[in-house]
Amino acid sequence: MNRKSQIIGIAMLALCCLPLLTSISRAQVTAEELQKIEQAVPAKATVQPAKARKLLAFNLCNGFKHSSIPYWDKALEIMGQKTGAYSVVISSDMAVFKPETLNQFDAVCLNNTTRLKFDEPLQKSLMEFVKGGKGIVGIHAATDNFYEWPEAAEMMGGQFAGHPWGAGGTWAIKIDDPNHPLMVAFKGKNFKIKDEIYLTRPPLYSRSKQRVLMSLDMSDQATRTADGVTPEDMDTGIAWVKSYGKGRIFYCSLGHNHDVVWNPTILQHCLDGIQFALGDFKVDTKPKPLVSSGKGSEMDEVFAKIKTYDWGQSRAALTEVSDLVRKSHGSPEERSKVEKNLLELLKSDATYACKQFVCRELSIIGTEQSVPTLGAMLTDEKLSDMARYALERIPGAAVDEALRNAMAKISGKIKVGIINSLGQRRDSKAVSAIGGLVGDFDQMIAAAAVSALGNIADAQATKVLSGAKDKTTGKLRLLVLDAYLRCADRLVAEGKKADALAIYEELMKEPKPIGIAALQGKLNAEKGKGTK
Amino acid sequence: MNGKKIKRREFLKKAAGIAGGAIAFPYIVPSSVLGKDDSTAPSNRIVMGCIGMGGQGTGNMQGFLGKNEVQVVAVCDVDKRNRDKAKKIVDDKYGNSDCKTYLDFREVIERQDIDALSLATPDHWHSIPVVMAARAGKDMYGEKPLARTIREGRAMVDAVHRYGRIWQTGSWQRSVADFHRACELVRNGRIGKVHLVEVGLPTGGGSDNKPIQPVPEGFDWDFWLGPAPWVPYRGVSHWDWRWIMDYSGGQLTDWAGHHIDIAHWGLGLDRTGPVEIEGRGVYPKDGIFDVPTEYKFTCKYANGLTMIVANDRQQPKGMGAVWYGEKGWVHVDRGRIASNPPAILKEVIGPNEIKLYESRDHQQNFLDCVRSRKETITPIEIALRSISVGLLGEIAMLTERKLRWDPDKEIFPGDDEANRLLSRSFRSPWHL
Repeated sequence: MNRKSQIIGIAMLALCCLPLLTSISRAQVTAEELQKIEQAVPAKATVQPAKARKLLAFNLCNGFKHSSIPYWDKALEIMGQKTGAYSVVISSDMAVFKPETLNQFDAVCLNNTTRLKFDEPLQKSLMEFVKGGKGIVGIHAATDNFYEWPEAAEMMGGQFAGHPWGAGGTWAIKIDDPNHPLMVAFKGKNFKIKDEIYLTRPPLYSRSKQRVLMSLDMSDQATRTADGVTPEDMDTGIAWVKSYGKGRIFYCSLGHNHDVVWNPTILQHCLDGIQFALGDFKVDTKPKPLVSSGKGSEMDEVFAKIKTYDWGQSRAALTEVSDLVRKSHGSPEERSKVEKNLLELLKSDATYACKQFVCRELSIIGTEQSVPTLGAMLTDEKLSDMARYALERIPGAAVDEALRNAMAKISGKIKVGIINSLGQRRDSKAVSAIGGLVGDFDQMIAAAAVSALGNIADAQATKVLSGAKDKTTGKLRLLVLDAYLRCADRLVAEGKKADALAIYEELMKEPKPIGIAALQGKLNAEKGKGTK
Repeated sequence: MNGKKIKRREFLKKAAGIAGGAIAFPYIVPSSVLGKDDSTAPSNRIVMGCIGMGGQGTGNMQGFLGKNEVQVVAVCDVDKRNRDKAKKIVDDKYGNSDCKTYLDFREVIERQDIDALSLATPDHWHSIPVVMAARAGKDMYGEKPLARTIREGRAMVDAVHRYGRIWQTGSWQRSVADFHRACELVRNGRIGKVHLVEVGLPTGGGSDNKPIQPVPEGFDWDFWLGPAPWVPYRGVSHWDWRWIMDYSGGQLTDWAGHHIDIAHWGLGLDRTGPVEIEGRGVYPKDGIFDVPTEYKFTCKYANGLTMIVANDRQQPKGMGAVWYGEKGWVHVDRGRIASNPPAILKEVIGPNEIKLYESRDHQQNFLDCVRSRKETITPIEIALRSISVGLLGEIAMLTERKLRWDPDKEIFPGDDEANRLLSRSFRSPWHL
């Protein structure tokens, strides 16, 4: 579309909606500033519009009114004219959101609007507009709206929660998604900018709900320690895209200071975002976690960060590692790399808190690769429980073997833990060794051994327990009888009803509660119903 | 368990006297078999011990103290402040100083004179006392959610069944008229075939990274942690434990035993579970709390029904359970019930229709059942099935994958990685 016809287009549109549309691009912007904007605006559209696109630039403020609004109005206007990407109509009249007016647009740009209030018909209109396949562009204070309209706040992907990073400061921004088409303007380079940064907190702001393109770089000390920044603000998004229904949302938190409006990189980014919102620029909006595992060295860095973690410190780096662990699902190669990195931490002089965290992660993805390292920790009084925390969940005979070996070497409380883990894993090969512990002088170990046999409940364990009931007394004997009952229950579950009934009938002679439980078991077995 | 037709009057009649014919639940020994002369069969008063004397446990205890047929003789907590406070309440009520205090719940369970227990420990401390108490022949009123993991829950159900114990879950909404009414309308087809259920539960919140602190005097922190991994004390224990994954699954699992339980009840699916689960949660990236603040997951059931569980902000009707059928919907929440068309709420349930178990006093229902040896309104299998939905949702969100679930075998078929999350290793020396 050439410039002339576009101007005519705007004029015609303005005519149809004359009472609604009032231009507020007043002469606040000086000629000199205007020239800067004109020079900074991209020369051409990033993608050719599929058809003539109309953008509604809305700038009503019921709350704080940013002085950058007229600058953005001008920039939007000039950008549309210069690139031919769209024609723009500027308004601050709520009536423009009525469907008959709204539906002629392809996208709405909220230019620093604050505390917008939509009555029900207008809510419906805007929601249908977006969900039906149109777009929303948000500039800076666009997230300072919809406090009584949660659905719209959700649509925006965030809501203003303050600006610890004031307009006078210079703040560091990192490009989270350098290969994203909307980030081409930045050429993959992190940058610093003097501007006011809007804080939008979870859960409205979330990397699992929107694709975050750039965010504050908290490795920069000034940015991290700005007044009022809390640990939960460590991930503060600057720009993002999301799909909402069939519609598209693009938001960029920059644009408080006037000179941002003649920053060519930011303007290029905004044009790309606008073309996305208008429906011409097809880009990926799939949410993505903070860290992509990427190259080996990047991954190593993430792991290095948690080596000194201690309780009470920020957990942000741990979260990054957890995300890596989860995202490695389906890629054995990635997963193996992640596991190796975790094991390196266990072998290092990392803090206890770090090692505990590592064991939790290994419980989810550990393989036999982890067994030597974790197995060696089993006999360590301090690390044994956490090594089991991982090992108990890791499949494979190597784990059972490591647990059995450790059981033979140790005594006391941590031995109880290992007996229990072998019981949980129903390791038949451990039965004879565990059976030998039923007579242990340490009652805690004897009780754990009995309980483990009741869990394993194979033929050999059943036999051991049957013998033990005549060699034990008191509380321990009650536990033996309980474990023996569980063997009978297991037999029922395996369809060996006759064997089970023999045990129930034997135990029915015992006083309650065992006798009653045995009778119960017998009745259930005869009815064909058992406990699982 | 279809058509649980226990009529209130009939039920009370039986409960008041010596138990008549036992209703056909397989795992409870009919009283006729036990014999009336059984030495520990409840006589005039049900002697109770209370374990876990935080806010909920104390509230439950006060409820039981208000029943003339109950004698509370023991209170137990790992925090001296809690147990002393509880003892004072009991002693004030009885006008003596007979109530014993315990730090170690095992000593309460060992007391031969105690018939029944009121349990309100944190979720990670649910399974061990229940399994022990079942072995010792105690009946139990225990708090929801049943367990922290599905494997623990199954061990609890097995133990309670094995020993024929009476169990009531603290899912008290079942004993409230609106919930009962809503479920009965849905069960009797007043909204037609149900295709969708929405369950809205509270939204969570984050926290800062709390520094390590000295353990308050009289508080046995190591015992409080019990089977959970050892961590230093950081000022989070009573009440706030529910925002940390070692001890709880957050608002989701805290409330699963309420509105998911009700949703299941209305569907008659409270002894089975979904076959497919998928969802996403928003997890705090920092701070001591690590449970999801927002969550939304979809469960598919074998009959084709869909259940969407989410925090209230992500549900069109907010908190509560909403059943959508071919002829309308019913929504129930605490203090509100609604339907579309509105006339559904005026419907009368005919004499030949499904009558759901009726109770208007959750604790009384437990006591009645302790005497009658009949099943309570929220038995343990149902409690497990209610929390299982929450726990399955948690696993789906943690793995960020669509999971298939076998509600009979209680495994994710062919998914070893998800199966790992069905249980957790206990810190020594604790075991079931």
